[in-house]
Parts: sequence; C-alpha cells; structure tokens
Amino acid sequence: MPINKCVGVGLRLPHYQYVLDNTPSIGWFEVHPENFFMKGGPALRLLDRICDEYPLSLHGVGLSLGSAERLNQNHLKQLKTLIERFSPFLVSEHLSWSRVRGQYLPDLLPVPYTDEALEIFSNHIDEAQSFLGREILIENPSSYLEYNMSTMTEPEFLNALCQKTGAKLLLDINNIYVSSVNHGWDPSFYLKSISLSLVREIHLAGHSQKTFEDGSSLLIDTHSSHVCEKVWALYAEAIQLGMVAPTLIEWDTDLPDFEVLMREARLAEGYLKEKKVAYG
Amino acid sequence: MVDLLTLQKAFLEAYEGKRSFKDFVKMNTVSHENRFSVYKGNVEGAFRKALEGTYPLTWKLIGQKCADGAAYAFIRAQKSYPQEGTLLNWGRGFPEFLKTFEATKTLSYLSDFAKLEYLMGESLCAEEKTPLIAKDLKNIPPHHYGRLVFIVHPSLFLFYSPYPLDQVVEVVEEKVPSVALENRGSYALIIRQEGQVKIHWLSKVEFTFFSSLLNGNSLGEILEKVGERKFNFQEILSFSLKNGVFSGYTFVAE
Ligand SMILES: [Fe+2]
Repeated sequence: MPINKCVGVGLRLPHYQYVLDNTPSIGWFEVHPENFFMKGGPALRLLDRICDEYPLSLHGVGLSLGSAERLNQNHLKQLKTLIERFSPFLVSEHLSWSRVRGQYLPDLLPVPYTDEALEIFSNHIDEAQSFLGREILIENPSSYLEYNMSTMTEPEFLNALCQKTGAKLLLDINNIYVSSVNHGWDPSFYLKSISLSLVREIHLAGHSQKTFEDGSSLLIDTHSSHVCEKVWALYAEAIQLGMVAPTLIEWDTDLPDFEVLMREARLAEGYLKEKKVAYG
Repeated sequence: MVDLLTLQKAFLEAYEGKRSFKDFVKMNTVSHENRFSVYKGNVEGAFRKALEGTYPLTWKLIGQKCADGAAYAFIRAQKSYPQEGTLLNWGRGFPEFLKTFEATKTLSYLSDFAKLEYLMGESLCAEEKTPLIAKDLKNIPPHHYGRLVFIVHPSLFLFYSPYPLDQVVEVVEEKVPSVALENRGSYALIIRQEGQVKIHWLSKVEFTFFSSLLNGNSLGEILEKVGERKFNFQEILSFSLKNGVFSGYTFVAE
C-alpha cells in the first residue's frame, strides 16, 4: 500500500513489547524524539527494533520554533543524531513555542499570527531544515486563547510559513476541531483555506471538555479518548478535498490496549481507501 | 503592538503569577483567566508527569496522592525551569525538596532513596560501551598490574546513604511487606546490565575500592589506600568482570 494511504499509531512505552512480540499489521509508528534524547539504553534499542519492522516518523514537541530567541543548538544536534540513526520518513514539529529566557515550559504555547512572528518562525524553520538537511512538517496546534494582536488567521499563517520555507504541513484534524470550538471558527472553512498540496501527514485524536466554575467551557486536546464523530466527519471532508496523506492515531493519556488503537486505525483506513462522501 | 519577545516574557510572568495576561488575549465568551489557566495546568501537569517518570519508585513508596502533592509544591517553588526541551530524567532537585516538604520531611530516608532512584535513571540512559571480560585482561603482564587504571562503565554510579536503603528497596519491590529500619548505612553500586538497572549492595571497603576506581586511581594506588589485606582482590575482580563494571583500561606512567 502506498504510504500516504497507510495509517499509523503514536507509539508509547507501554505498547513497545506488545508491538515487538506481535508485529501487528499497522502502517507506521510515530514517536516524540525528545523521549529518546539519551546517550544509550534500552529505549533506543527498542526503537531500533521497531525501525527494523516499520516506517518511523519523528514528531517533535520541544524545539520551540516559535520562540523569539534563537533555537537551542543542542536540541537540534540531538534531533539530527536521531534522524541519522533511525532514518524517519517524516520529521515534524508544532506551530507553537515553549522557550523564553532560555527556559523551557513543557507545552505547545500559542504564537501570535503577526508579520514579526511569521518572520521569526520562518527563519527558525530555515535554520532547522538546513541543519537537519531535510524538509520538516509543521502541525497546527489545539489552542485555548487567541491573541488580540494577530493580523492573520491560522491557515493564512501556515500557508505563508510553508511558502516562505518549503516546509510542509501536518494537519491535525482534532486540533482544527478543538480550536474551532474554542474560538468560534468554522472548521470547514479552515480546511478549505489550507493549501491542499502542502499536507503531508494527518493526525486524528480524542479530546475532552473542561467546564469552569463560571459555567463556561473549553475543549482540551488530551489525546485521552476515541476520535469523536465530528472529527471523523471533518476527516472525511478533508479527504474529499483531496488531502490524502499518511494518517496517525494519537492516544497519550489513559492509554488503552493496543487493540483499541488498531481499531481506530482500521476506521481511518476505511476512510482513506474508500474516499467516500461521509459528510456534507 | 508588542513584539514577540515581550509577549513571551509576559507569558512566563503570568505563568508565575506575577502579572495578568489579560492585555494580550482576544476577549469573548470564555474569560482570559480561564483560557490562560489551561496552559498553566498543562505546564504543571507535564512537570508532574515528568517527575513521576523520573521517580516511579518514590511514587510507589509514598503513594500517588502524597507524591503528587510534593510534586506540585516542588514545581511551584521552582526558581528556574529546564534549560533543555526534554523532560527526560528531569527533577534532580526533587529529593532535596522532599526534605523540606511538610508531608515527607519526617521520612528521613526518603530524600536519599529518591537520590538513589535518580541515579538509577541516569544509569539506564548512560552511553553504551562494551564491558570488559576476563579474556580482555589476560595479556596484561602481572608486573604491570600496579599501574593498571580501569575505566569504569558509563552506567556505573555509586551512592552512600546513612540509611539502610537496601531495606527500603526490598519494601518497594514487595519482597517484604514492611520492615523495621536498622540503624546503619548502605553502599550502593548502580549499573545497567542487559538493558536493566541493577543495584549491588557493597561493604564499606568495597565501596571505597570502587570510589577510588571512579576517581581514576591506579590499582596500585587503590590497594595502598584501601589496604590490600582488607578485601579479596580476586573476588572483587571477578565480581567486576561478571557485572560489566569495566569498559576499558589504561596504564599510569612508570
Ligand atoms: Fe497532533
């Protein structure tokens, strides 16, 4: 099967042994490189063995391309070491920041969509791509606040980033849905605003809802449950628009048995293969 | 319009509770405080999870609720954050903090136990090196033994505690249901063997021997320092070779 019709699963530590023992029929795996920034030990060896059997994608969470300050060179070097060792077919990062004053806040913090941020983010992508010697993908995040200083929409910002740098997109359908609900965006309009040819990977995941004391609520990208119906429908819509790309099921919290992830992956495969009109 | 750096510094200050982030947030149905609180919760939650990842045995020993409480107090008391964009083995300062945290400060051995666990994490992730085996040493002429300096394996760490941590480990590993702690110290040699971290409990003399090795002393210097008759060198050598303690050797000048 061509890789862009393959569905993968985000691989987390509790499932390593199961995967090695059973070599389940799954298209590919994705891991966070930051979990492998060690000098040696069993985790790296397990990943060697996974790589012998499956294509691998490295999905970064800590490079902080959206920081105003310069990129952490040590982080880039460690990422490059992993790329050389595991030859991933995709390398991705987020449209976010996590570093200020040289200090790391471990979350995908939102970037304002301004000309200045576009310039800084583009420069950082250029630097990363030339240091790593390859193209990277940028993922749209789930966000919980919008900046009043933003002058572009998120799709406009992403399209412009890719145009300036040659980077491509990792489109997270759940994140589009979560951010759309949180900010009152139209998720279909978001999809239609993305340049089709830029999408090289798709993410699907579950989310949860947080209700505050004043009764207001936000959707939170917890990766803790099944992909919801509305996200499946949005995925079908993306496929109808022509966004056929390797798709990943992400599940990080309250991790179920691997078979549950397999079933989610099979569902996604159904959409990719049939390319059926399931929405609208 | 503020620049990106100003905005990000303001974010950090708001995270630390030093200012409001209101001026930057587009206002609508959900308040800026609630919106910002999601990020604060995510950051603190990621730190907490990372600490539990670094100290799983400490979590098991004192229980999830108590450990989480200590973790959040530690996170909020931090004066600085990680410099690197990974939380692998993060939280080196946590064991010292446990000495001051109200719910754990009376558990005198706990801080040392957590320090031991931190070293276990370091050992697990240490550089790969092929350990020496007996055959690797057979061509060394006996009259050169005194000048021999063993290079210890990168996954080897030593730790002394005035508390009997071996007894605490037995409880955590559920080998015994509970234990009356003896009034003595313990000497640990931590090393990764076949992908797993093992702790070997040493005598004081053995501990001194390995400490000297770790400091780069030659065999001659160590025997002089420790006193040749206090331990069986053949025994300690075969223990070292069996457990992958050495990853190389060199000689000091004559
Ligand atoms: Fe994602």
